[in-house]
Amino acid sequence: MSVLIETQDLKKYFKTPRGWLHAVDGIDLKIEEGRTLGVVGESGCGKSTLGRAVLRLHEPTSGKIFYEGQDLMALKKSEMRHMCTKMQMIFQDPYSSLNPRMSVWQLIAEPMLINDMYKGDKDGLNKHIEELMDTVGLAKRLAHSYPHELDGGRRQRIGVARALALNPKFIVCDEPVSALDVSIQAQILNLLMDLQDDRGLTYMFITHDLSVVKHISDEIMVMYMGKCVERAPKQELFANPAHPYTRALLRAIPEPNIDKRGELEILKGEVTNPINPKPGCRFAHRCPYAREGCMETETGLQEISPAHFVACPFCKEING
Amino acid sequence: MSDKLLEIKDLHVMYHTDLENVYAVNGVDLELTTGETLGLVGETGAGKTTLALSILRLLPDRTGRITEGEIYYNGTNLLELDKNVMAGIRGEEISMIFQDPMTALNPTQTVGQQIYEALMLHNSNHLSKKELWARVDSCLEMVGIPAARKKEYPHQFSGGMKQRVVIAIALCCEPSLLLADEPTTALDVTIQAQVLMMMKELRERLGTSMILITHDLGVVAQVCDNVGVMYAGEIIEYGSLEDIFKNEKHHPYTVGLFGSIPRLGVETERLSPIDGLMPDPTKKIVGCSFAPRCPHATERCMQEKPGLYREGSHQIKCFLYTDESKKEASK
Repeated sequence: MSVLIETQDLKKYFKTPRGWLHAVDGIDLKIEEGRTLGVVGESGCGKSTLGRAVLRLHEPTSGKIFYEGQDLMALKKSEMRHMCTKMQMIFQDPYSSLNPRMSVWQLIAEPMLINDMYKGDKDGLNKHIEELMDTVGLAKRLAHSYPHELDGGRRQRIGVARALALNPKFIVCDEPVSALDVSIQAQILNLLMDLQDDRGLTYMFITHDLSVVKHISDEIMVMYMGKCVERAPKQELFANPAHPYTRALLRAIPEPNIDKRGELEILKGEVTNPINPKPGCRFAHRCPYAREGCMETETGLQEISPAHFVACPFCKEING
Repeated sequence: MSDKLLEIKDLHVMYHTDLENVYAVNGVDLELTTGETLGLVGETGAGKTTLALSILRLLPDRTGRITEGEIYYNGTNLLELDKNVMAGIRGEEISMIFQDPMTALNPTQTVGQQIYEALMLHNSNHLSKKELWARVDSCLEMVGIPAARKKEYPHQFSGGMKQRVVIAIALCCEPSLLLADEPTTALDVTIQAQVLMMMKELRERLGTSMILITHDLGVVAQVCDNVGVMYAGEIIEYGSLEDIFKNEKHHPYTVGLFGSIPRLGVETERLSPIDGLMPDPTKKIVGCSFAPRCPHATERCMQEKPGLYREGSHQIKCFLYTDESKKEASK
């Protein structure tokens, strides 16, 4: 299968009064057409920034992004805007990402009007909007409602319809279900998976919820403070988590299973500030297995088994 | 004193606005024994928070009203108490951890002052200022914050640390009942695990009873003794952890709730969510509140409220089981 999206050493730093904040610090990723890459991490690890940087919604500080082999960083602003018809985003909060003064119809029409998709062809536009509403499961009678009249699940469906309006191939889903209740969350997850089957979409799915990411992804990337600490196919990552952070993350999730009560593993400390980070492994000061060398030497990703990359030189010893 | 710490009988709460009436809690019966931890699960709008606010009588003055029912705490009906007496109970006997640590703290006061305030208002032992500040130090250390940080302001703390401060405020007067409203929802998983473990430890040490409100079944499985599942202002299923997580018999809503969550340990191709949405709380519901979304609904569910089916500690409000038990009884 062909690679749709690829990044090389992608970096995004933000300038703050106290120094450079390394939000995304050298990420390499590849997503094949029709597959889903899940990006997991805690708040502040740079996963949303990564999603935006891939679409150049945040201008990357350095690094390269390729879409079907085409270098996006070499494109001018106007050319990049045209690329946006192929790459779209679903935003996290359906309560704040929709303009409250636009009706559902206007919201879904907006991307098509901006890109002159149906110039002068009002019937065509109407038909497409109806189709889209049908695809995402919004009743036709809602076309002239406003977002405040709808609940979170329906609003997120509008967000999905907007992202689909231009028939993109690649969609960055930035925590699309975190703001929703579980029963609604399941409806949206099913919708996204059905759309992928029908249209061959490629997703980059950003979330902090490991059980959601396990459900929807093919490959998973775990991020910690702007760096990728582990990347592996789904089954492999959950069967053999190698990086100490991934292992701790997996064990910190309370499972709805009373036989596993009291097995939460507690990781000490908290994520520190990613402003002007010191060299060395960024997880070292929270890592239960950290040794002297960890604080000083940077560790790149190593392939420990086919397609399984880990940024910890001692993972084999640790996992025994 | 009986071992029943809290008893709620047929509680109805309504929010009254200019345009409409919202029926938030519709007939909740609940008991809590000393030392017990009860989990209340349900989705947004199920009435979980309203129930907790009613116990503390903190419902918004103009709009919220308890229309029916009684809440007994150690045998006294809280709803009949004088305002001032209630203020004494609030914080000292029953206290609450609010959902969002980012907004629950006063940004213009140091965290020390905020803990001190609670201690000072409930200073029944007439401790001196110095003694009270010593208590502030010990409270902060109890939740794992160095006492030296008492002079800092909330914005200098991270989310997890702020939630620890909120917990310290709630526990500083050593209440016998703690209402925790989604205490870890706003936190990351590794921090959530830290806070949950800390709450568990403190509860065991201080012997506090707790009502934990959450929508996360995983948290319930880790922390609680008993579980109540709320839907549209009613408790539709109640039982011990075993009853809810192991037993075969369940309310169709509980089945839907479990079917909706992707599980780490279990491979599922497709989630099985519940169709449809919560009923409109501005309309009084005739019949079972879940009937319009229920795969087993019959004509009768639309017209009649189902009774309570009991089996040991397990209670389910659904005709599926009440009928079954009647049949068995007639045999």
